[in-house]
Amino acid sequence: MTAIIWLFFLLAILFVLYWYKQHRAVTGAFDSTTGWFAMRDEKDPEIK
Amino acid sequence: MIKTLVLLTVTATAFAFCMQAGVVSLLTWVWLSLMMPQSEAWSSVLLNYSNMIAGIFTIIALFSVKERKIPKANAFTVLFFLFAIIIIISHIFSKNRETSYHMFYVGSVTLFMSFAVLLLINTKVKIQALVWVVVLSLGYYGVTRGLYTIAGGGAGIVSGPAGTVITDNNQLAVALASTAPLAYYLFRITADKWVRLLAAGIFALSIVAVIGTHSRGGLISLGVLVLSLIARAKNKILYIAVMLVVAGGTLLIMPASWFNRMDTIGSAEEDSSFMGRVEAWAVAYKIALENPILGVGARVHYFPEYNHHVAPEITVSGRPYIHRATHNAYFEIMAGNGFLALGAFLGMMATTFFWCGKIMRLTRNKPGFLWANELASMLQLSLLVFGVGTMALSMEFWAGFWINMVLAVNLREIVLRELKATPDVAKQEAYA
Repeated sequence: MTAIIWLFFLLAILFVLYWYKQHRAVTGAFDSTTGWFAMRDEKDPEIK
Repeated sequence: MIKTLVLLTVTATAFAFCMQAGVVSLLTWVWLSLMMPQSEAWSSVLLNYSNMIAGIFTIIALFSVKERKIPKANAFTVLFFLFAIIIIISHIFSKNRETSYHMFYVGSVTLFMSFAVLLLINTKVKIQALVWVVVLSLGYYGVTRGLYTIAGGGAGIVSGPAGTVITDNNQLAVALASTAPLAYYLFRITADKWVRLLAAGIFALSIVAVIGTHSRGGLISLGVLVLSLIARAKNKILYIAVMLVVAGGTLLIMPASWFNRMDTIGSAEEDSSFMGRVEAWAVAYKIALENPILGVGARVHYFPEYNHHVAPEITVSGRPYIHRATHNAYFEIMAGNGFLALGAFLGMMATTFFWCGKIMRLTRNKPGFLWANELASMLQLSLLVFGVGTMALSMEFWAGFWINMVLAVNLREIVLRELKATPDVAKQEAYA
């Protein structure tokens, strides 16, 4: 069980690195309205 | 062996990403330093050097990025460089350089990593990526130790990864309690419900894990965290109910030995462990008075040949005062590096704490600044929890704390920049 959680967290961190790299290297800008890490205030800019 | 191969593959992939985006080097370095995934894999020469390789990639990134190479002068950066210089000079003039070398090395690496964060993590996306890396790195220990506590009915004392600053159960407790606010921030700010669930799970299980460490200092830190969260919440009744379910539910399964240990918090003056720490603080203070400018060198004051002359009358549990850890980050710096270093350290803590408050005021009810408002609030809470927790622990060079301080500095810069510029243009620049 611990090994599965360990692997999950490793892959999650790797995904964060990939997410940053993709937005930085491919699009050159951060589109925070899409994807797993999308933020609420970007989906709804009027939210306070 | 399979774990080692998996970790080698994941680390190699991360290093491949480093080639394409310099900041990934720093994110990888932070991940390897905070999580130390190597500690749970079979030892391999390549993995033993992975932290160093990530550090070298970060140095290359620092020289290759287009951003400015020197951080903007402000109260924090002045105190940061003053502190770094004192740490170096203090080690050079240490009364026993062999003894102080280890902490000097740990401190230097942490300060350099903080310097890299100060220079490189200067946009919203970079801050968001770093917060995720920090939360996932520590979150692994929160989740596994939290589940272990629940499964075992709290009978076993949980501790951190071997060979790190957070190996000890007390240190793990403070590290988890001060990272939990960041998990809470991610829960509040993330739009995807599954990712929100992951952040909420890390937050809740980290609280359970802190209780599972059987650490009295950890419990005090947890109390600060829970009370502060409730005080900051708009719907206080809901938060009290959630905390009662998470913390109260865990307390229900904890064994009698846990309650007996926590009961001693109320009678600290009768507790030999706590009184031993008070004696150690007194010794550290006396040594600092004798060496006010540079101290005696990190951890040198632990040894009888350097502390016996100021503590011949002190006995702990009936025995003469001998080699003892100080168990307090502030007294460690005071005795090891002098009053000036302590002043710079406290100054950095106070500056970032008040800047978080300023960011919160500047961004309150402003569309597009919800993330900054939430992050400033949770960074402030994290600094508070750590500041209280380290009154009984020597964690002055724990990278997680320094990263939080620098994040507060960079967040302030971004918010001031965005507030000055017209909103649309500023956002485009900040995201790039």
